[in-house]
Amino acid sequence: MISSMLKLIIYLFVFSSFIKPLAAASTNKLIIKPSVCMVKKFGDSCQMTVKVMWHNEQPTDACLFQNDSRLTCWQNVRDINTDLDILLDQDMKFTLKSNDKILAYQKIKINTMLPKKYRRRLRADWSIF
Amino acid sequence: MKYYLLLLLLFSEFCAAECEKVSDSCAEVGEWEFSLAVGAGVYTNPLNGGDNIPLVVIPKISYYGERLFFENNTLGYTVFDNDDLVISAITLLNHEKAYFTRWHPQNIFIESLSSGITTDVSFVEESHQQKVNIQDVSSRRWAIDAGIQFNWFIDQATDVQVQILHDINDVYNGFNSQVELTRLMSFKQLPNTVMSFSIGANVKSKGLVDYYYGTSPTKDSNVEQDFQGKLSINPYFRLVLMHQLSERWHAKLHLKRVFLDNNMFDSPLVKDSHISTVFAGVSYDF
Repeated sequence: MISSMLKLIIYLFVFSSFIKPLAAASTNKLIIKPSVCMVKKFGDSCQMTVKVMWHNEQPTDACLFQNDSRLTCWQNVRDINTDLDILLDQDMKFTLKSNDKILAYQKIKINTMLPKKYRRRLRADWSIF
Repeated sequence: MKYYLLLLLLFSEFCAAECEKVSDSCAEVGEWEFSLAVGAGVYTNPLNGGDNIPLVVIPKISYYGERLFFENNTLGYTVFDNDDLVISAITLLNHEKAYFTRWHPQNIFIESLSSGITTDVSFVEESHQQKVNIQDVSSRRWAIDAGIQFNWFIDQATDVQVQILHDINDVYNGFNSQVELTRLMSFKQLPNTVMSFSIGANVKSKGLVDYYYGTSPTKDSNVEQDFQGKLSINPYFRLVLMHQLSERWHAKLHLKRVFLDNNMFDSPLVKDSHISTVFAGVSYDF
C-alpha cells in the first residue's frame, strides 16, 4: 500500500515537472485581441482598439513595442489587462520587452475585405525590343 | 446613328475577364510593378554607322488600373473588355529614331560599348548599292504614335494583338501597324518554366519608311543618292523563356529576329536584312 502511494507521488512529481513549464509559458504569453484588422482594400490603414493581456509570476518593468516604436510602459507589473488604440498600415509585430529582453510577442495582421483584382496584360514582355 | 450605337457598344460593355490567379500574364489592378533584369545581350542596329546596343541592365515598369495601363513604353486606356476581346486607345514613342541615336529612353541604363561593336561603314559589303552612313543624313525626329490596339484572347494560352497607329506630332505623316500571335507554353519536365513564342509582322507605311530610311540630295546635303521609301512589311519571331528561381527572381532568355523586306533593305542607309535581340540574364521583381 505504502509502495503504491510512493509510486503515485513519484508519478505526480514527474508529471507536474512537465506541466509546470507549460503552465508558466501560457501565462507569459502576450494576448492581443483582435489579432486581425479588416480594411476595405489593400493599402488602407487600420485603426482599432485592442485588448492587451499578459501575466507574469514575478513583478517586472515592461514596455510594449509596435515593431520598433515604443507604445507604452508599465512598472513593477504582474498583470496587464488594458485597452490600447493602435494604428497600422501593414502586418505588425507587437513585442513586450523588459530592458531589451523580449518577454513575449504577437503579430497583428491586416486583411482586406475586397480581394486583390487582376487583369490581363495587354503588351508582351519586353515588347519594346 | 450607327456611329452612336458603335460608341454605345464600346463604352457600355466592360465586363473584364479577370485573371483568376497570379501569373506573369496577369497584373494586379492599381499597383505599379517594377523589375530589373541584369545579364548580357545585344540589340542590333541595321543601319550603316549605327551602334549595336548592348543589353546589360533592363528596367521594366508597368501599371494596370481598371482601364488605364502603362506597360514599357505604351500608355493605354481600355474602352472595351470582355472575355475574348480587349480594345484600347494607346500612345507610345515610335522607336525608329533609336537606330539613329544613342540616347533613346530604352538605353538609359545600358552601357555604351560602341567602340567595340560599331560596324565601320568602310568594311561593309556593298552588295546592292552604295551605302550611306547615318551621320551623313539629316537628323531624324522622334515620333509619337497613337492609335488603337486589339487584344484577342483565343484561349488561356493564345492571343492575337493588333496595333494600328499614326504619328501625332507631324513627323512622318503615316501609319504603322503590328500584328502578333503569341502562344504560352509550360512543360511538365521543366517545372516553374514558361515559354512564350510569338510570330508577327510590323507594317510601316510609305510615309514612315520614306522619312526614316529615304535619302535624297535635297533632304540630306551629303548624300547623292535618291531613295524613295515604300510600304514595308517586316515579319518577326520572338521567343521568351522564363524560369522562376524564387518568389522574386527569374532567369530569362529573350530572342527576337525581325526580317526586313526589300522595301527597307534597299535603302542605302540599311546594311543588315534583319534586326536581332538576344538577352540572357536574371530579373528581380521589386
